[in-house]
Amino acid sequence: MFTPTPREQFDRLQLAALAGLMCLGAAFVFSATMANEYSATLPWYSQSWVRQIVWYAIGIGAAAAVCVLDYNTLARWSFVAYWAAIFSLVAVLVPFIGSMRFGARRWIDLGFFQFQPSEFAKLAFILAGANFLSRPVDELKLPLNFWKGIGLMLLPFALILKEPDLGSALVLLPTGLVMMLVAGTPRKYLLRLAGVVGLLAALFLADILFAPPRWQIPMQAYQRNRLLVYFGRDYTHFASPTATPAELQHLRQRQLDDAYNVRQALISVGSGGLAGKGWGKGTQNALGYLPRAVAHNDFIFSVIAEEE
Amino acid sequence: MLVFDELKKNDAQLRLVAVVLLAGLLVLLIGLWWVQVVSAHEYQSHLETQSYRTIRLPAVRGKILDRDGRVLAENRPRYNLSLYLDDLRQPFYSGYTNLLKSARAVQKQNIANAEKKLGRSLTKVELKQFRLSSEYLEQLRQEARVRVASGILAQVSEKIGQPLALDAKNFNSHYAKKLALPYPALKNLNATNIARFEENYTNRLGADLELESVRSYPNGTAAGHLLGYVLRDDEAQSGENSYFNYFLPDYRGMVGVEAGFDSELRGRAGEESVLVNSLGYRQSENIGNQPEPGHNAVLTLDLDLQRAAENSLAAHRGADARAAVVVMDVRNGDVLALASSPAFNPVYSENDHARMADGTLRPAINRATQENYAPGSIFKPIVGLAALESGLDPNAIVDNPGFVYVGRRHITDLARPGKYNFRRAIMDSCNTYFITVGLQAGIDAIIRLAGKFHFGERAGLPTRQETTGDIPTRERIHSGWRDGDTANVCIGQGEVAVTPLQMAVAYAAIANGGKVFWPRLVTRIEPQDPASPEAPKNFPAGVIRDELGVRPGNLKILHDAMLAETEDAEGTGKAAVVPGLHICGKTGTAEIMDAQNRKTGRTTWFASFAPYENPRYAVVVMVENGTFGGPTCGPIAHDIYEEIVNQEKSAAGKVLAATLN
Repeated sequence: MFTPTPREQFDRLQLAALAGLMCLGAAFVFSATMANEYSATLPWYSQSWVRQIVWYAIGIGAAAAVCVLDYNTLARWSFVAYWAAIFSLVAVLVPFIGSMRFGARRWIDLGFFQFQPSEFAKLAFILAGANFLSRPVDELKLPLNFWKGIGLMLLPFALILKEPDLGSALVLLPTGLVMMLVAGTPRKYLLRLAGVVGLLAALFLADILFAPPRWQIPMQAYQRNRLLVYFGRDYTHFASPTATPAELQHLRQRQLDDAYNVRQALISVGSGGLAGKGWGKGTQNALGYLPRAVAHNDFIFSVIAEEE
Repeated sequence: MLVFDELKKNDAQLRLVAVVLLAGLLVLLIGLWWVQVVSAHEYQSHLETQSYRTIRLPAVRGKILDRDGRVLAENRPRYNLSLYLDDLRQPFYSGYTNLLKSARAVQKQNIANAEKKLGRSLTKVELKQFRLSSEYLEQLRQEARVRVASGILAQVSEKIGQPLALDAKNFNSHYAKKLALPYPALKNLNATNIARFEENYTNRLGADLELESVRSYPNGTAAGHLLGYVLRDDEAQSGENSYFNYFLPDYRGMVGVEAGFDSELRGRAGEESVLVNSLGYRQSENIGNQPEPGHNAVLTLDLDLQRAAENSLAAHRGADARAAVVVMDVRNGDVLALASSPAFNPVYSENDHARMADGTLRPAINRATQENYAPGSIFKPIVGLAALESGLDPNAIVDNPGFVYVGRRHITDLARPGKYNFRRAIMDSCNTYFITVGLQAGIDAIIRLAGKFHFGERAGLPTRQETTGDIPTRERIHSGWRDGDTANVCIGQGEVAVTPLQMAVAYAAIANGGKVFWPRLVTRIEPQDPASPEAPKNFPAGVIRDELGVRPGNLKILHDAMLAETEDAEGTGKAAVVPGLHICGKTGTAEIMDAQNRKTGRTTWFASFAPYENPRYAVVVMVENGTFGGPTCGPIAHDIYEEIVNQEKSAAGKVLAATLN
């Protein structure tokens, strides 16, 4: 390993890219929320874009703190952070601690501050994983260490899946696998693992998309619907053979409703074209076709793509 | 630390990760390129269909004016009280949240009651039946909207002092189907209401006046048949967008000038596109094509003469008279008045339906142009002219015993028995004389001359109210034609039928020395805006259709005889006389037979032109079911000539007034 000089610790290009992204982000959060009459009338300190900048400040502070800290210190605390994250992931599943939103328990509400433990779990997992995997290649070759690494990953994965938050849970898998790969875990292990995971995923998808209702893996309806929408499967495909035309029509309507956000996001991105409509001139957001409550976070890419 | 840097390092694993990441980014870029570049048009059109509504804007229909620019048909503004739904979004929403609050309270109460009854808290499954269904919530929203709208109407109602109620069903269907358009709550406000609204309803919340244009005919039923009528037209015109989200209709002329010049009067509809938000409320609008106003049609009609003709028919024969009057300028064929009775209101809905359906009255037909009538004796000048042209000596005497035999057929003659020359025969309308000279001249000569008058043919009026009339064809008179048929034609009966307009054209030709004109009804089509650079489309006056080619001397003989008809002591047309005007006329009375050959009534006529010295006007009066042409139609013609004389007298004054203006 090399010992970097203090000057080399900063990558100017990366910092510049980061600063650019932050400016763009704040600008489009502004654009996305200003179109909404309600949020435009909020006092300046409650506006989403101001909050965004406040979060930038907090984030920069935290980043600086982490940079200044010796990585050995970080390594020592990593497992503390990991188990704290696991604890909060368990806590969020307890009904009076985790709050229910849209049918899932993902948030812990401390009154003044709300957070998703899964977000912290991702970071804690990366720290703990890095610490665990920082060992000679010979040790990584031991099956026990391999399985420990897998366990490190699967524990938060299972807990987050239970919330349920499939999206956040799935992020852990490639992150963990790539870390193991880069750390030097033998390829044959990883290839086998990837093969098994891939096979499972393929079976899972095939089941969701093509299997008759009796053979379906039980899962949340919205998750199933999202997958069906993403892969463009027809809901009527799963209707019972005796379904009346009205029922089929109802299914088609439901599919249209479920696909609404995806469709509107595509219309935003597509209608913007290469040049875009100009900052603050996107109609999809201004007219409320993009869901208002989340246009400035979940759908910010659509807003950016439509306007620039 | 960029991804590329990892490629340079000699670390197989990192390199692999970097390659995979780059590949992933490439896939995303291709996806973005696919959506934003390749499919951009498709998504743009999706965007347009979901967020734009097109509205058809009808053009202002052109006016119809008389020859002096007096308005016969125009557009009257009509003010509707409309609710602007997009301004009411906030009240709708707060109304809904209030209703929702009380609904939730009721729901809580119900659950509490149920739990009390059971003595335990309800399970999840049991709670389900207390859930507020989305249908119920939609119902609450609807109720909130109706309440808000009713509240506003109540306010307005108080301000304008007129009770107003919201038709909830109508309102809800408007909300569902035409959200981007204002809701018309009260149509056609009167002037008092408009003033009160403007003065008192100052906060203007959600309600305002909206202008609509309605076709209006300021002179009531005057020239109603000629003007025709319009109906709302719900079809797009050719050359327009075939699809509009909201189609604001314009008028379509159904008959009369409104129909004949429909495309000119109508103009071109414009197009407005309205940007709507995700809920369908109007956000902003943008007019794509301005509507092009229709053109004005300027008629040859003289409103004063038209009124005189109609009033005179009503005064002498009553409102149920089945009659017609045509007044024509003999110098150029301009139609100055064209009246038909019973009257027809160009505002179609204001006509009495029972009367419209009456098979005898038939107010909808234009009797001046649309109905075949036996001309009777007013056809005799044409027969006489044919005879004169064939060499008849006007002074030759025909003895009238009071009847005439044609073959074995006995035809009575109402003219007193005695000796008749041409002049006396016209004056007393002697059947024996005209049958005798007509037979001498022969049916060929009569039909040849009638052909030059273009009887039995349409004059190409733009009103779609024309019939051809009847005249025997050449083929007809050479197959199975008998003298008796000729005798009938000689006295204007049998196989001859005419319209009053055809008789006016014929008498104008006799008056003007032999020029048969195309009757003209419209002088020009001009842009509504006088400042428009577009040139008016003129229809030339005095377009000659045919020349009679008769000797002027013979016309002079005819004029003299027709003058005697009104001025000689023996004349049958004396009732038409107006002091200071020499009128050449001919009365006519045709017996009408039904299928069983029974007499059912008489068509009475007075056909004329004046002044004798220098003819300018032809006046034809026809009354169905009159007594005799002279006493029935003469007085009506008299009134019209009186109006003409008055006009001529005040013409100098008019010219002066015009120059002062």
